[in-house]
Amino acid sequence: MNCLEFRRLALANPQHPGPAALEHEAACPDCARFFMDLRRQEEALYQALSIPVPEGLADRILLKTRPHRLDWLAAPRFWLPALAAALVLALGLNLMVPHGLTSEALAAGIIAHVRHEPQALAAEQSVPWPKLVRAFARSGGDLTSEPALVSYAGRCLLPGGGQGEHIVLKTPQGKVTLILMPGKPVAAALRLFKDGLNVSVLPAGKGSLALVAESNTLVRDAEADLLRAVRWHGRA
Amino acid sequence: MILTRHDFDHLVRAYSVELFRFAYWQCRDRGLAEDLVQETFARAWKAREQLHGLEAVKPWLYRILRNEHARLFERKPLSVDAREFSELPIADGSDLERDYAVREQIALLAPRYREPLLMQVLGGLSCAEIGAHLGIGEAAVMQRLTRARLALRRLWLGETIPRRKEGT
Repeated sequence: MNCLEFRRLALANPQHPGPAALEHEAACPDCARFFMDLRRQEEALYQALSIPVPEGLADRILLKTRPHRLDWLAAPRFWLPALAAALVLALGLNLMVPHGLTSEALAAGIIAHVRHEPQALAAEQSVPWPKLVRAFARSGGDLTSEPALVSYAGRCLLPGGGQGEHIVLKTPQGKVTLILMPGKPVAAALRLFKDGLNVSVLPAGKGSLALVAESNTLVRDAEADLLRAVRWHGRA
Repeated sequence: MILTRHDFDHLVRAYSVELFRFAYWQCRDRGLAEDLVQETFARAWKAREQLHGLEAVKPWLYRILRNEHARLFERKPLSVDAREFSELPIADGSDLERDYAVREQIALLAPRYREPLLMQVLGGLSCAEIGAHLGIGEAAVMQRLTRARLALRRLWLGETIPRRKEGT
């Protein structure tokens, strides 16, 4: 592959230019510099596009798609008291939820955490099924099938405090780090690309989970695998 | 497979944020973007029998959203030039000047380049998935993405590109 071909592939997909392109990048200092600058541009692009999302968007969507919603919404004498009660409850819950990191800071903290734990990614353990089941149960999830081969599972300290589960999923396409974070609820899903890693933080069970990998495709595939393999309970 | 209510709740929580952002950058109106996303999920729930496997869910949601946007666009053409960039919402904790500049750059891109770029950057869709949405081949998608990033890159490096009209 020559430099022109590399740049064409990198510009078309900076996250996944392909193995041949990455080989070229490793051998060509000029293209390596170009690629690094392109990835910085890509990160700035994602940040700029990530505008704030209206508060309660997911809840409004779910409300809209509930069965018989029209009958219910058409009768304010029913929904006004319910709304008032929900507001009181939300205010109460807000006081109880530990005020800690924002979702963005949590996602960035998870990336730093994964960077600082390279041994977890390198491990090739045989993790017993009951250990995995317990790890998910502690986070409010029932594991119904193995989402992928697991090469590491252990407890870890989470950004901002508290304990979580550090699990590494080994797929044919590469490894994905899964961090289960009970007690760290997030209002909505969040994706972030930082320091060469993609992270996806999702609400799950008693808090949230994070999936981290270099490849965004791997993260997306792992999201789908988890959706199939785990049944989450509501917040504790 | 039939999508259960439980699965659907997870889908809404997992994908509503990125779909809202995609919708916003298509119409540049927060109210319309929220309407589009709400309608997308309402249609998705009604048409849940048409979903073939959870792995296909994201392209499926994007397809519904694009159709909804196309319907909206037919009723109300939107113009980039009519928008005040200063009114764009800014994410907390970001580099405001840089975000402003990048958003101007995005708005200057012609829709045929902007749309695949948004699908890839915000949605993480593959070139093949984007091609299926746009009705073009994977090579053509790669070409559009390359041109989009080249145009952004020229602006990034301080050069100027001619302003295009919407739809060109």
